[in-house]
Amino acid sequence: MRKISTNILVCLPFLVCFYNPNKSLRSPQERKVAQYVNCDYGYVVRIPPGLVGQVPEYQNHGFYIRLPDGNSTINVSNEFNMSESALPAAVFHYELKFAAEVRIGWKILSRRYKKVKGLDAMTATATYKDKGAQWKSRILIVYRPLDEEGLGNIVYLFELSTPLARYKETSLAFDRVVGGFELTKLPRGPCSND
Amino acid sequence: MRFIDYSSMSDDDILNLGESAGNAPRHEADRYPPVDHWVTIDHRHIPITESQGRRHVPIPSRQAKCPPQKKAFFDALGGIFKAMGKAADTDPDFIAALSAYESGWLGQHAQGLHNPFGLTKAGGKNLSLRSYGAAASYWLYHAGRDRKGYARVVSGAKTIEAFLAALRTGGYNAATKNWAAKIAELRRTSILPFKSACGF
Repeated sequence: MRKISTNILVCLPFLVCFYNPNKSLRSPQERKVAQYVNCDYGYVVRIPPGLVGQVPEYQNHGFYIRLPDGNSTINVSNEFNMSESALPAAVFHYELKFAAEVRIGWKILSRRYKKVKGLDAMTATATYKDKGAQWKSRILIVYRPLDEEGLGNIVYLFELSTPLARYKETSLAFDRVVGGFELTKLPRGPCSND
Repeated sequence: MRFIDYSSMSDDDILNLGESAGNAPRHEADRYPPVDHWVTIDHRHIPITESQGRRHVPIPSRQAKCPPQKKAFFDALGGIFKAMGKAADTDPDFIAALSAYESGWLGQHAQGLHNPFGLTKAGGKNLSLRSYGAAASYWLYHAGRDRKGYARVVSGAKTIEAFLAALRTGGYNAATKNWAAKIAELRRTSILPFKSACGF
């Protein structure tokens, strides 16, 4: 009994020092990655040298890259198609509508259909305003329909957000990130990101 | 109320909706707003226009049938959502909308994992659970940053905006910018109009 009491007395100062009542409320921790793997949504993005992927804590919907200019970002996200249609044009329309919804002065400059990894995709550019400055967005939406096993119906979205003056250089980084995009087999049950 | 028959339209026609009514857009951006979302009725994809108003249920109840995907979703999870709503003192519709988004209307993969809420292992891959009931219990009482569940986090949320804001604070999906807007829209357009037809 005395030994236990002694131990408690010895440990008590350390417990007090290390106990943090706000530990559960600490700011979110992010993972830094050179390659983003998402087995649930069936894709990998190899981050180009010189850039770092940042994965927000407690979520499974993608990552972002802060570009060296300090202002521009590339967001990569994945989610199930919620457009109520499996037609690519409807999916792209739905995604662009929501891209517009979170921006002020959103103006589409161009859009173009393309194929990415054999899937239907749309690339678009737009301008918008943020804190009084003119920004430009470049978006790539890739739609992965249901396969014969009933897996898929997934939307992959790459988006560059950059001050207008930085568009040319940051757009090159965007191309490199998209170049690292690979599809993987969609799982039916548990899968591994390793 | 204006419905447009999507089935006979080309991709470009869809993206140029608004022009087809004879309203040539002044700006490129004007090409996009008229269509709010798509619904599928009797295997036809139909865009719903904004002229119907964002606050109104977009589909007349006499037309709303429960599509097979939604039927399977509510058959499997409807009772669980109601119990969760009661346990967390919030609207089961909110939980249903969240689940539809996170699981792709309980798609094959979510079924295989018994994970209708996109629960992850601290942001890694999705968790595999023993049953939907186990997933509900985990969501309510064990998930989240503090591992005390989301029941406390969303307790008392009377609007879906409040519900989603609370979840986001608690660690749900910080990456997707329009996550909350999409789930709120999903509830408005894909849950509420079908509730009665789908027996939820």
